[in-house]
Amino acid sequence: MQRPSIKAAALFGALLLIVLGAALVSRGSGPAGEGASDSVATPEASAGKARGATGSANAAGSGQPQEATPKEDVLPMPGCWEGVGEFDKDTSLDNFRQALASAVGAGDRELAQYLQERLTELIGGDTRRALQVLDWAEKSQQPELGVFMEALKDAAAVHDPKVVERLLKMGEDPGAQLVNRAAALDTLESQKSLSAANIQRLKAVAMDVSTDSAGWVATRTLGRVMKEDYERTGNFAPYWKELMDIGEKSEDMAVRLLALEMPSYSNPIIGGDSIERLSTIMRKDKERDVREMAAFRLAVTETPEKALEAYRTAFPAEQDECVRWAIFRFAVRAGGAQALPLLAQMAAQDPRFLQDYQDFQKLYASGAVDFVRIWLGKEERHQCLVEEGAPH
Amino acid sequence: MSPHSREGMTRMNRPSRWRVALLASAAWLLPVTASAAGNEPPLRATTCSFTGMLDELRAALKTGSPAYRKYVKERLKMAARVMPAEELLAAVQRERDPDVLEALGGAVAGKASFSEDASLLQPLLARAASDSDPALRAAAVRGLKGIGSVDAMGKNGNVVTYEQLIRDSAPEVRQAVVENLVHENAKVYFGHDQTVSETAVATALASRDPEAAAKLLSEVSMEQVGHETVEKLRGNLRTDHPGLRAASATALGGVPGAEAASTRRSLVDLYRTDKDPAVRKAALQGIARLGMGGASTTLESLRGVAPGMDAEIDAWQSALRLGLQEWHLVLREKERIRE
Amino acid sequence: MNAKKMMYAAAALVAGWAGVAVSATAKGPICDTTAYVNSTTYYSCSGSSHTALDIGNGSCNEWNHRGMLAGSYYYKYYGGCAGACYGSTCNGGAGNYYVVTGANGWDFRQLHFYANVSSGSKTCDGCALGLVGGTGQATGPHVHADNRQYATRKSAWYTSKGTTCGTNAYCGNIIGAPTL
Repeated sequence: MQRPSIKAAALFGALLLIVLGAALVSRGSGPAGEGASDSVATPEASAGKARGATGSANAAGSGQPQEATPKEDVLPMPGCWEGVGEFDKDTSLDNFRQALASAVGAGDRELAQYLQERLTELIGGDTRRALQVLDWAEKSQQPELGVFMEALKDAAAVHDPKVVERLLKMGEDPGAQLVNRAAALDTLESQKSLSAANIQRLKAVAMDVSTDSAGWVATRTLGRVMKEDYERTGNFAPYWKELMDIGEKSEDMAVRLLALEMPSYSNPIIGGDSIERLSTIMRKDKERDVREMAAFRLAVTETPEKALEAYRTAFPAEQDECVRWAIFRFAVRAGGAQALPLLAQMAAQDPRFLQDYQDFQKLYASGAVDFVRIWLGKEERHQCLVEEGAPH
Repeated sequence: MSPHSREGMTRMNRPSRWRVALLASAAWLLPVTASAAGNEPPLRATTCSFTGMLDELRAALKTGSPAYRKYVKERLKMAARVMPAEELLAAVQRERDPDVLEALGGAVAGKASFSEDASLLQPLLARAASDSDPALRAAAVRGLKGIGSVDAMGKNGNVVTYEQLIRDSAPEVRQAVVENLVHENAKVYFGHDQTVSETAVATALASRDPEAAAKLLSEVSMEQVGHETVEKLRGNLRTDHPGLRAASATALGGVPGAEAASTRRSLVDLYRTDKDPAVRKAALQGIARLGMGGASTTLESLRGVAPGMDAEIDAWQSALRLGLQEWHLVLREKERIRE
Repeated sequence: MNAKKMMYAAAALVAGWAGVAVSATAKGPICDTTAYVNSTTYYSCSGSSHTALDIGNGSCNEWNHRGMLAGSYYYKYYGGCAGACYGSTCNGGAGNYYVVTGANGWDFRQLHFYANVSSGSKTCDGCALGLVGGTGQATGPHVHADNRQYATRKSAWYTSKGTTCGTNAYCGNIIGAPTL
């Protein structure tokens, strides 16, 4: 890895407390653990008992005489509450946080989810209420922060320019906690579109190494709004231009990878002008996962023949078998049966792909034409199930 | 009455694993109730009981907000996994409110799927097939939505089947059958299950409701169907109902590659002979899907057969020229071009 | 292309079966409140590229490894690996594993489990699939969960606010939103 290790630690360390469920459990775990202590084993005890435990080599149907009985699961069990019906009728911003405190204190995820959805209903299209919730969020930590922001994300008021501006400012604020910045940027993912200026603001956060988790979320939000805008209006180019820039230039591998991944969720047909840049990433990025993602991205373009040429050039130059396998299969996604001569060429260059070539040949000969179905019939023959760096 | 009254609590008096789980759950809440006691919190923790949850469900479904209605249903589903089946199944057998029955059915279905015990569905299947009230029959069918219901019905000996339920005299029951199968095909199996697809075709063919049958045929994936089912679909191209002929043509467009050549010929014949524009449009789509890039010549050969459809052929040709290799993308681009 | 036309296109896709990929919800695979995520995009949180979630509770061959997807799905079983807690060479490094195959090349996989009487292809919701183990390429028992399209692993499925190292992966907690 070229990336400083502190970067990764910061990126994910910053996100550590973001997940609502984790925080809910952590607050509820004391009494819960006590209540369920009969069925919870410590990791040490479990591991100790595991050694030499029966368990079968191929247990299903293998005829092993004995099989260890699994530990008794601690199944999730939501709580019950008096007063929810009355609260539901009289929900207000005044009594909301007190109710949420009860849910959080009890570790009741279902109740917290209800309160989040009820808050969305309460905010509705009311900008004043939305800004009030943002006031709370600014001073909150998880899990309350997640409830406030997720509620706002789904409320109509999130589209109000004043709310959008406030969210962007929270996301950009270098003095704020990264977890709050990330949550604010995540809340913007329900926007129907982003102005050119706001795209640039998100990109700036994404490209700033110091933003860590917030930058990663900013990248995802760019991609998610791109999906929404593209599906509604056909517009994707302004987002994709910046995502490709991030995919080329970010110093953080996770952010580069994500930027190139995001079109997967809406499949815009990439213009011919992107092919050269994607080809360069596919050949030159120092991380194999990013090179693979660039190969992935090249498969849905306006000019599949240019993509096939890019694959033809990249394949012999690539040293990693798994990236070669990506180039090979995405050539098929780009060209269909017309890619078979190229596959034959690749198989001649690297005999490890001869069986793959024959597989695709047979699948197309069977009458299938849709790559989705071709892929369903394709056996995966390369040891790429687990990533580089394995075993782990 | 409060949904969690003392009466409700006293009914839970069996020393079972279910009760232990509830006590554990209640134990989580003790610190909160204690610390918030002086502030009159809007919500106060209480012990769960099935009766209490059911009472709250009934009230919430009548007057609650959408969030509250979802909450009480989800909580019942979660609780159903842990609680003994008897009380839940008894409630399914006696419930008279369709909304509550649907929620109870969903909880039973969820429990059956979680515990891999299809026999739990028997009371729900019985009500779907035999209740005198069509609204309750429909609610029982809707309760099965979202699980592997075709597989589960098989495990119950196919005593109740969708082929049988689709012949119900009540349209809401037939609609529930269609929605279950369409959902199960798309969201549980993503179109990859042969049994579900073939059950959908058999159900459509058993139906006396052409709209219901057409929806099944046009929306369920034919990716894995066998030759016999393809032949049935081909036979359906001659039915009197044009919507059903169009749906059959749509379905035939999605059959496995091994069936593509003969199916293409059937659809070309259909296009040449059927006068209904919707049927012709579906035939063109089927031809495009079966051949994708290789369908251009066939599509071109049909130009002029029905001049009003030539713009449709143009749209397909434009979409196919993009060279996309995935049907869902070809279809998306064609719709953009055409509209 | 105006908005009306695009919306029509979207409606057409929804109305007819076209294999539209959808977002699912993934919960933790172990019903033990001590289960946690110990690898995400980076292996062991600061190592090499991983692009999947590793989840464990420090046990092997003891705790149920459950289906993570909320709702009923078809889990296809790939077994045949001898029981192991600390790695084996089997199934291309995946060990005993399950795949839920979605639309358009998307899938969700759970790897490395220790087969038991629960193991086999089935349609179920949160059911037991086997036991937490370390079959395949594994230096210790854990559940490896990934969300791929055409065999390329994706990362955007971590929960909307980010699933991270240390996230509690108890089976009551949502830890991701995979595309299927």
